[in-house]
Amino acid sequence: MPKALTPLELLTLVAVARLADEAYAVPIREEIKAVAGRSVSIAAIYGALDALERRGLASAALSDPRPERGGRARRYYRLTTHGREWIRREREQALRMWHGIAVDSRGGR
Amino acid sequence: MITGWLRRTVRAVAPPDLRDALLDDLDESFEREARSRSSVGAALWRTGQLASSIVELLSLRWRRRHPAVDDGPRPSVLRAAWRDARHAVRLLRRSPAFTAMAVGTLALGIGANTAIFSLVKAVLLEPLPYADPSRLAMIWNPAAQKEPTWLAVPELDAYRSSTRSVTRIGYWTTADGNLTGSGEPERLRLGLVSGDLFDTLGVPAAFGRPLERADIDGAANVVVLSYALWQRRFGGEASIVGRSISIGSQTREVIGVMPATFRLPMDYRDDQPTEAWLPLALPEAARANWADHSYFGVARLTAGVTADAVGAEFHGIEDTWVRDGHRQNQGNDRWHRSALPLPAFVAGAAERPLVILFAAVTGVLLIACANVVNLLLVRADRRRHEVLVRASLGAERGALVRQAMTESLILALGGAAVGLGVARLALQVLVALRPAGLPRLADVTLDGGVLLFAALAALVAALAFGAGPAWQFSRVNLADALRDTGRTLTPGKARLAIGRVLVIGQIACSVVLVIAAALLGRTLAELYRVDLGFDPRHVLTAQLQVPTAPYPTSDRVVDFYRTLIDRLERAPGVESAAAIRVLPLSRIIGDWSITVEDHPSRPNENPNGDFQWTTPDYFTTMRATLVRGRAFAKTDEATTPTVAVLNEAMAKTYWPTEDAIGRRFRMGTAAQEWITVIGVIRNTHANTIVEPPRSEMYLLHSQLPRTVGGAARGMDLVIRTTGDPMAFAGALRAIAHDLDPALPLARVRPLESVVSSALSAPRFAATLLASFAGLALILAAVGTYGTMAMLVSTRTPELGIRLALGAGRASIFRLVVGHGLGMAGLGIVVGLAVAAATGRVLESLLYGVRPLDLMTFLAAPAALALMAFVASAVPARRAARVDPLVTMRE
Repeated sequence: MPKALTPLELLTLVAVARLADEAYAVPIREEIKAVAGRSVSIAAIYGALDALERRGLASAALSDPRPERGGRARRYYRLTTHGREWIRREREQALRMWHGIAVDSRGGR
Repeated sequence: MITGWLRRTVRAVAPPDLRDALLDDLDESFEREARSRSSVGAALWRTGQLASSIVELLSLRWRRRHPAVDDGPRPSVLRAAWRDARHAVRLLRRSPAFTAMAVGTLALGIGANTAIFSLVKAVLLEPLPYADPSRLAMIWNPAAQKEPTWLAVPELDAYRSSTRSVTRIGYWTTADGNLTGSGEPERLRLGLVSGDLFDTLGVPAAFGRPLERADIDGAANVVVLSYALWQRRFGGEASIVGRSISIGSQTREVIGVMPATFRLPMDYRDDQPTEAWLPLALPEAARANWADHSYFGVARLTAGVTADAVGAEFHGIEDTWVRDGHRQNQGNDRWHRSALPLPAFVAGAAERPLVILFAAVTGVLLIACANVVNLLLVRADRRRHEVLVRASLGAERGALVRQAMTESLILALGGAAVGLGVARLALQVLVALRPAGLPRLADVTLDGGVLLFAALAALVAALAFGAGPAWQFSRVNLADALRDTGRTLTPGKARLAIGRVLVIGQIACSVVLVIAAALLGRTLAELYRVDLGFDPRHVLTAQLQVPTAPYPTSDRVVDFYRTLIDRLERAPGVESAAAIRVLPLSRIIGDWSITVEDHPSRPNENPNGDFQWTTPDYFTTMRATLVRGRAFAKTDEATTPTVAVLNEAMAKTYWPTEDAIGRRFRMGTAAQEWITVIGVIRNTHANTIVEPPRSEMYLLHSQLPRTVGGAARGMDLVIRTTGDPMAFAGALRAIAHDLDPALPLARVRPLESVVSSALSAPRFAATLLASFAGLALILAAVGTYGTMAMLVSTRTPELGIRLALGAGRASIFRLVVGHGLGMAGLGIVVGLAVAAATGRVLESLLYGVRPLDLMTFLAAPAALALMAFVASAVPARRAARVDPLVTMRE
């Protein structure tokens, strides 16, 4: 059994999937903030991406140098096959777990 | 500044493969974030992001190196610390008043410390901008360190050629010269330098090259500019190298510009540094003149040689000069020279005051820390319950202590961050005070070293005041937790004892600071009261230099000054005007050997006097007092008998028993004309305000060709006006311009401001110490109040019982105030003892007041006692109003 991802690593993994070709740290951070409501620093995102990369769930590629602002290359991330598989499994597992549960927004039942 | 430092740290800790992309992404998210926040908000956010990035990146690096530990979401030590920090920040935000108080107090303490430290660093610690400065030394007379040591060229040659302890010697002299051509003409201080000077100092040029031996030997028409002059007059254009400019009526090619930090060693002691350097072109006769003491010498010592060894070797050489007849044997060390290491030479008189200020400001920081300890202890008392609950729920004791230390550290860092802002403001004020005695003031900055110091100060402070609450948390006892109902009669005896010790320490520290400040303040008052011997009010001054080009002869120079003074005296609003060689209190006058007529020459005597020359109305203009004979008159001219006026000190030295009037002397031993003494004036303060009077003689400017061999071209103007002297500045410029548009007037300023800048060093020390003492008093008052308030609140049940048993309210008031005064008394006794023991340290800074001045030693304790009374009266009143019924029921 592979060990679980930390919540931030999982959020990052999903954000990379959602952003497709536009996945680098800045939009990933904003995606997590907008969708999951969690505010983290850019460096924390880098930490999570680094962990995903080392576990073979995502791979990084440097873009061509951009024409503007010093023109350095951005570090884009994509999911590997293994990463896509992981997401699918997480999703199924979660859906199975949550199936049939209705949560009342007022907190009572 | 802080973000810059954080950013550099982020860059340093980021793994190389991520570094560039990460920094770019950080910048991009800052830009996005800045759009949706206020500028302050964005700046805070940015700082927070950078700080947390450092933690994240350290954690990332650690996880890369220990992948095995990555097997679960277990937090690393760093993450735990980070979580502690966030928890502490949340807690601190919940009590903003406490946080503001603690951070504010620390910011004052750390800020003042950091500001003074950056002065100490720039003036005393930073290496001088020369190659291997520890091996450079001025050739100096150890018997008279405060006076300039002038050397003759043959002496310098002898030192260089016959010593092993010195590898190179450079020398120079200064002169004034006008820079003309581009823009307004300007009078500059010039350095005329020897072939080896730049080589000895070992400083390369910023552009082009420095002066080399070949330039000097060939008497080349070249000049090297200072960075400041290059910026000011030539707009910082690199094309200046190779261009020709006109300096001192001569066209010279600019061959180089020195770096901004470059100065000649003497410039550190002069408020008017040299700004352009020319080859010293000496005719052969001048090179062999043993009597022409006009040069400063700097030596590069052989590695490993001490200054004393150089002095011993010089002594041997000096003995041969007496044998060879170059110098009389004067039996004393008046003519002995040794090596004075350059760092000590530059720091000079500034070292003592700076060390004292630094000690004083450290005292302020200690007092501030004591207050924060008090605040934290009060807070820890209030959180006793929370801590007990956490402990009983199984929180580890170590975790509680760590939490307490983290909180102190966060407070200290906050204090340091705000303190840096305080330091920045304080430095602006300090530099604006312009202490003349402080060299290298322009180099003062808040740089990495200063930041490091602030961080260290914060760390030490945090350890100092974090220990208190941490200790308290570590003593948490579950048995107490179960027993504690929030009510005991006198809880925390040890806790109150700490508070008392802190207050006693604060008061002791304050006593020392207040006494030091009062002594320096009285010194300053005494200095302002010194009778200068002249009246500086309503006098305008300016510097003037007459160039050789349109005025080739002495006659022309004398004519020029006579015409200028005539026109000035005829101008409306002018009472009288004159010119003088060196304005009193502006720089060292310097002495000249004389031969006194009918005065037997004795071996150990070298008759001399500080020499001045003036136009006739100088004494009237300065309102100097004539005690005998007459002053110069307009009828004393170039062709009439040569005359001089002496001060009382000189008259008494050379004619102790007889009247000096009518006696004669001549300048030097050369065959100049005899000069007749016609008058004696009361002593004036010429070099410094605190010096004992020196022999002084005044010659007439128009007679200089006959008395010293040529008329001087550079003079200071003094103009007594009927109204505000600066109101005449425009008219002065117009009159000078009308006579010769190419002549620059430099440093047009009232004589009062010249006098005032002579007092700037003591004023600086006194002002700073007074503000530190004020700060200490306020902080100590807060500390006393806090401790007394706590004492009253913990003793409220006891006081209630006392009242119920029939104690009067006045007696309760007396009880509490008496307690406060008791603490103050103890603190005062300790403080007085420390002040008395360390008073000698201040002695060299004092004037007109003794270090153990009785008045000061009575007044300072009185002030502290008053402070303690006020600070304990407020809680005492509250105590006296306690309602016994309410307190008993509680």
